[in-house]
Amino acid sequence: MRVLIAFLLGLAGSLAFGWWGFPQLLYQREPQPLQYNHKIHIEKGSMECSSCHEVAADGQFAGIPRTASCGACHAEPLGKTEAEKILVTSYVAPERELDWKVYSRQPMNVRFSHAVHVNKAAMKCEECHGGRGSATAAEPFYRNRVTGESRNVWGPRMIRVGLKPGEGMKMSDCESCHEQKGVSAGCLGCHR
Amino acid sequence: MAIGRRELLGLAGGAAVGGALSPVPWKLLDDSAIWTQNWSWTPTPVRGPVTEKFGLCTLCAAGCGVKARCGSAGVFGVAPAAEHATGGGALCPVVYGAHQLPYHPRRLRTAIVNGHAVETKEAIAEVARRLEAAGAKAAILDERPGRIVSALYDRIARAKGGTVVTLAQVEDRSLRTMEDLAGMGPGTLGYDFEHAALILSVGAPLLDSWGSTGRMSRLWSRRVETGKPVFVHAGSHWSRTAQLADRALILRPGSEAALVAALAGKLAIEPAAEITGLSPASLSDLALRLREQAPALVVGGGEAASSGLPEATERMIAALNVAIGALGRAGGIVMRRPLTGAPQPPQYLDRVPDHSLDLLVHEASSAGIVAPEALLRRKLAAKGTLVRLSAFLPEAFGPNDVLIPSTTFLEGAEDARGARDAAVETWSYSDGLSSVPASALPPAEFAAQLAEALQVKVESYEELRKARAAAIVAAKRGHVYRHAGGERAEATDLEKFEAAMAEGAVWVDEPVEPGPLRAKIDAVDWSAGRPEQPSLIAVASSPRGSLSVLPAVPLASKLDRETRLYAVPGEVRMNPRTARELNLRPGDSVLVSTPFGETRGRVRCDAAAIPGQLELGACGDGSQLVLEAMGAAEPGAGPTQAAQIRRS
Ligand code: SF4
Repeated sequence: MRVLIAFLLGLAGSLAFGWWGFPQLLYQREPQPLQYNHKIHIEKGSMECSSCHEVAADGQFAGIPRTASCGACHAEPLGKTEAEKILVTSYVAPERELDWKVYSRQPMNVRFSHAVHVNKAAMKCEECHGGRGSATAAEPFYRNRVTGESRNVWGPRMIRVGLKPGEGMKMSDCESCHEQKGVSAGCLGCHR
Repeated sequence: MAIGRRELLGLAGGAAVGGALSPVPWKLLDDSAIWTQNWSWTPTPVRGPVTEKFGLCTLCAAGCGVKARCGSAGVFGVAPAAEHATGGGALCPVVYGAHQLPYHPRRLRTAIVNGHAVETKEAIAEVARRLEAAGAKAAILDERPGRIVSALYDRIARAKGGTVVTLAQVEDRSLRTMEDLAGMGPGTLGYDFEHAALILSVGAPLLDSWGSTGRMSRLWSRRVETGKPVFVHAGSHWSRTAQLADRALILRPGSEAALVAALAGKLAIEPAAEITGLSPASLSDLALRLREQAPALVVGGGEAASSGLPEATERMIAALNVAIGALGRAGGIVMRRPLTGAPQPPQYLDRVPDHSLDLLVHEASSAGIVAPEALLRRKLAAKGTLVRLSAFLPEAFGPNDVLIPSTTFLEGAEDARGARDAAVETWSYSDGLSSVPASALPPAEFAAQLAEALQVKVESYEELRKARAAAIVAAKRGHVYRHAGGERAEATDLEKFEAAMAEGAVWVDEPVEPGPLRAKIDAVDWSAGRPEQPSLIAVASSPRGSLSVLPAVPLASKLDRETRLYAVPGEVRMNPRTARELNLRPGDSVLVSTPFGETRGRVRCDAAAIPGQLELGACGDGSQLVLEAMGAAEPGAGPTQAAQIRRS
């Protein structure tokens, strides 16, 4: 009996550590340089994702906009929020780049063509990036201490079931979408 | 409650089962796999937009157009510029990896004088001092004459009483003999292969590492549609050109003269067949075709990694060309207009008397051109100085030498005059696509600093480049081809011309209307000896652009080593049958000796190698020894050498 209790104690402790303590240890929360409001840009500024996240004509993705492109509208503060003030005084005016933490950044052996997915496959940004485009504030960025990448690549929960669009950007997620759509990219389509 | 060993084991067992049912093991497994891809020291390209720019390949004088993929950290991919006048939309295999050359472990990062590292300025001051002292016994070796920097070398050498010399590349060897006989200056003749019906190569590797790869491969593939030109190769060993040619005649080594004499009708077919080892029927058939399948032309020259044919044989080839009407005819050997604004063509280094120079400044900024070390040293007097402007540490280094680090592939401003064998002159330039390392001097900067140290007044590189552009526009000849838009435009407006050239365009001169040219062939000696037949011959192979002291860049070494296309450095490639006859096994360490030198290597057996032939790889470390053994420093020593081999 005492052995069984010890076994169950070990089992419970280990499960608790694995499912609760381990994620706390694995991920480190890091602040974004600015509380960015996507929603206000879309609703009030009538902007689209591609207004800032350009997909270049030759197929390459320009990615995170540079401060100069923010400066096109924010040369002067457009509101009274703290974030607006920081943007103009600390970044736009001194022409300093914002050190955004990228939720979807992949390891170096991965290449991804936004142009193919957006222009050819006519996919919506939300299908991979979820509702980030309508968020009022930048969601917390959790960096995986081992890989250095965002928690969003794996997904919000340790168990990868029931992921919604925008949750998870692992190879298996790409594969399942490709399988659903009957598209094969081969190894070199995505890996270099 | 007392805790005993059993409880502890139970606890551990529970923890182990719980651990296995938790995400820890598989998540850590997954994460550590990704971690291995993100080690801080793993080279990763800097993120940023990717642009395509046009530049020049500087691995030989042809200056083929290169389309480079550039990121924020420099060039990371190279492809041919389609339709380029010289490159023709193709590059030599080695060039596809040449953007890695700037990171080569043998990159020279400091100037060296007499074995000591010094500041570049000091080294240049030392070169100026020795050049001044050498006076008329100084020469500058310009491997790619006709560039803007060549004009600077010309002014410096003239101001101090010295000369500019150049190397006779494999494409030069036959043309210069013809120029001599026709009383024309160096660089005034070219081959009009595009209009030829039959091309006979006498030992010239026309279809492998000869001329510009794009031009030759375009000609070869065009045969499928038009049936012209027909390539006939007559050589003393099997080579890739022999394999690709429409017809290959394998001669006895050294019997090229007999073949040419027979084709010219100066030696009867029967004795010629006996000397060359060819059948009388094939000889008479070829002689007939040369006359009937007009326009035909004959190219000699030998292999790049060995010596050319003897001068007497080259003279016979020139005379044969005259006899079949190839000189001055479309589809033959045609006149080219001298490049507008270019300095006088330099004389050939192999024609400079031995031991006559106190100082030789060797501009070796093109990593792909070979200069046989033995040839350079032989031209120098006992205590002469060899100055090298090179991006890489050379294989050999003399106690008196001066080394100055230079730029390499796609670094810094460069211009190219185009392939030596082309029927028309071309010109293109680039300001460089990769940043210039602080320690490296582009050739133009080297020349400018040398001129300053010598107090020779010269125009700046930019002024000279502008002046040449203006002269070309003023001449109102030729056209400009822009890769970016794939358009041809006339060169009539200087501003537009310069704008297009800055984007990587190429200017192509107009061809000279073919017309009869004369050459003095009466004095040509047609006597053809009966060469001795060695049981074993050595041949050297090397892919174009990699014929240097450089260990091949990664992509090229992959091509070399994995496809086994070429004998790789340090290997002696032979047919298994030859190895058995010589009692050798794969991997045996051997010493190959020829009348000119020795080289070591390991035996590699390859059924694709020709029996009785030892193939030596002349690229990378040890290539200078191979060149020496092949007699590359001895003009006219021939493309193959009698060889002996023994275990070492
Ligand atoms: S090595 Fe010469 S022929 Fe080959 S691509 Fe470069 S310039 Fe052209």
